[in-house]
Amino acid sequence: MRSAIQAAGRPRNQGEIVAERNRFLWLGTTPWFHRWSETLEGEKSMPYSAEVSRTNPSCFLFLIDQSGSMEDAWGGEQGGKKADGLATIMNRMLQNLVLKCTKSEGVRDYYYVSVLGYGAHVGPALSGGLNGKELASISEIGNMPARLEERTRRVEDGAGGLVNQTIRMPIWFDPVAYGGTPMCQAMRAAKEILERWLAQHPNCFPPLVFNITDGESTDGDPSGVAEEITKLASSDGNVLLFNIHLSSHRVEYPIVFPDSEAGLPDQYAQLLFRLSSSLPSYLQSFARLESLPVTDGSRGFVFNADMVSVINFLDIGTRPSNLR
Amino acid sequence: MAYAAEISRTNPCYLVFLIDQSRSMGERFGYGEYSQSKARGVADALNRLLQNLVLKCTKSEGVRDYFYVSVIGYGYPVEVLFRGVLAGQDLVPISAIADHPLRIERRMRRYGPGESAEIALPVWVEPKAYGWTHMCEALRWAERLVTRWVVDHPHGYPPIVFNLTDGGATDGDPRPIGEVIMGKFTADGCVLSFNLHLSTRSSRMIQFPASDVGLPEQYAKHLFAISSTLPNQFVNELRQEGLTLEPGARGFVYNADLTALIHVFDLGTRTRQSQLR
Repeated sequence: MRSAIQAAGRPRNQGEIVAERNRFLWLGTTPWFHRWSETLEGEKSMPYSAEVSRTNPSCFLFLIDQSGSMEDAWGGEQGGKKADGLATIMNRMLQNLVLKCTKSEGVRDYYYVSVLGYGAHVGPALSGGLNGKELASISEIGNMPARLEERTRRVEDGAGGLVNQTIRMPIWFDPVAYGGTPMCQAMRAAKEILERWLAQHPNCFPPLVFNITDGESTDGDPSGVAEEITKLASSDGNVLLFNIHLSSHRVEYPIVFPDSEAGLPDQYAQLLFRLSSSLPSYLQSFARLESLPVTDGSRGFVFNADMVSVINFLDIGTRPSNLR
Repeated sequence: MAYAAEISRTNPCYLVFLIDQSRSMGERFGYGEYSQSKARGVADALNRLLQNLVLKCTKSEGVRDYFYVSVIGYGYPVEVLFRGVLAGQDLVPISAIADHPLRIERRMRRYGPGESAEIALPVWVEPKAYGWTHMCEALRWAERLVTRWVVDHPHGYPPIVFNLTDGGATDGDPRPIGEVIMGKFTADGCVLSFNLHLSTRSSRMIQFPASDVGLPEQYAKHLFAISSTLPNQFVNELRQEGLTLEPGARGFVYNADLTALIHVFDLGTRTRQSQLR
């Protein structure tokens, strides 16, 4: 209690709160203590700082463009198909997320994940046992890949040479490329999932929505629904909506985390920019760690992304600021 | 078609290795149970490569000089890295390499999870990490060697220069001399200049980019600038191995780990197998 009084008047960081809680843990009154210390402070903590824990999980939503044009090569004629590349990225990202949440006793449900595809249909896009599931916990995802695929790669062998290593890659998400781009319908579905989630988890770390698309919406301007999504909030801050636009030809460079519309090549890029939330400071820090130039105005937006940009964006975006 | 010349004893293949031996090369490659110092990793990879080349060239009557090799270290001093009988020789035929390893070491090679077996690894190059990064001086030496070679072998497969470094040159801007090297040519194509930047942190590797836009440091952009565009044969092989390459991909890897380094060595020399006459 003495240190809380000493600390009154300056912003408390998460570490201090945890340290104090540990000292009073024997009281078994953690949530109570939290409220007590905040009342004494008389000031709210910063947004996007809630702890992510099993009792207070957060969630990620992925809206994946599955329109016919995703059949085209990524970056001109020489690359593989966008849908295939994106499926590989999504599977690896889910695997990494499962690993991040894995502790000695198993996978802890720090996160819930929704993957919605939008092309000929709009709906949950995971395969296998999770087929049709709108929102799955990370442990369910860890336990139920649709299948395991064997890949061989070569790694160094301890004596200057290479040796074949067979790894089993879990597959949850299969590529689909057929139909139009009903982005508005996808965003409306996302909004419903978010509203239900926030009703059940009002103090969670705000959900993040990643919209990954290679082209324009075919069912109208998504600005209205997007705005409604970003108005949704938990007590820790507003839902974040990030947009990743996949390049069709490799003449232009990827534009990563821009902070203004100036310099964006066309109206569509500007639209997606306006639909994207600004990066909260913890994500700005992660971006800077990767030597990416960001400012306070940088948006969670990549235009003309190549595979590497998408991988890095998703890696940064799904990094926890506060995993307990 | 370029880069398709037959490799024969009259038109051998020439490989130049420029090895950064500055102080920082004593640091480890990333983390993990198998990590080791960059200098040791590079020395192992080079010795294994030379062993493989010797094997490739061994026929019933002996070792045929399909390959010539130069190995220059640039920490302090900038020098030829062969020792013993080969000391000071900046252009060595593969038969001489076969005859004069410094010694044979017994090393454990991993064959699979939990399985290792002993192999005999001849040692020609030893790890060293001392001094600053005199890359420009090493590049000027390489330029003299390559110039002499293309004059003597105007129709053969062009020389390949591998520059292995973990940072930037401390003796100037490597771009002018690097560009001169890339401008040398035989009838079969321009000299190939591959640059491998070796990582210390386990952060993201950038393999064979087509532009320097994603490269975070100035010296990395310089290394990119002095890396040749990959010939089609290399691009096809890399794509078959599952890498996504853009048109115009260069022979440059940023933050390479040891596996990537060995891969590039393998790539740079494997293709030649089908062309040995």
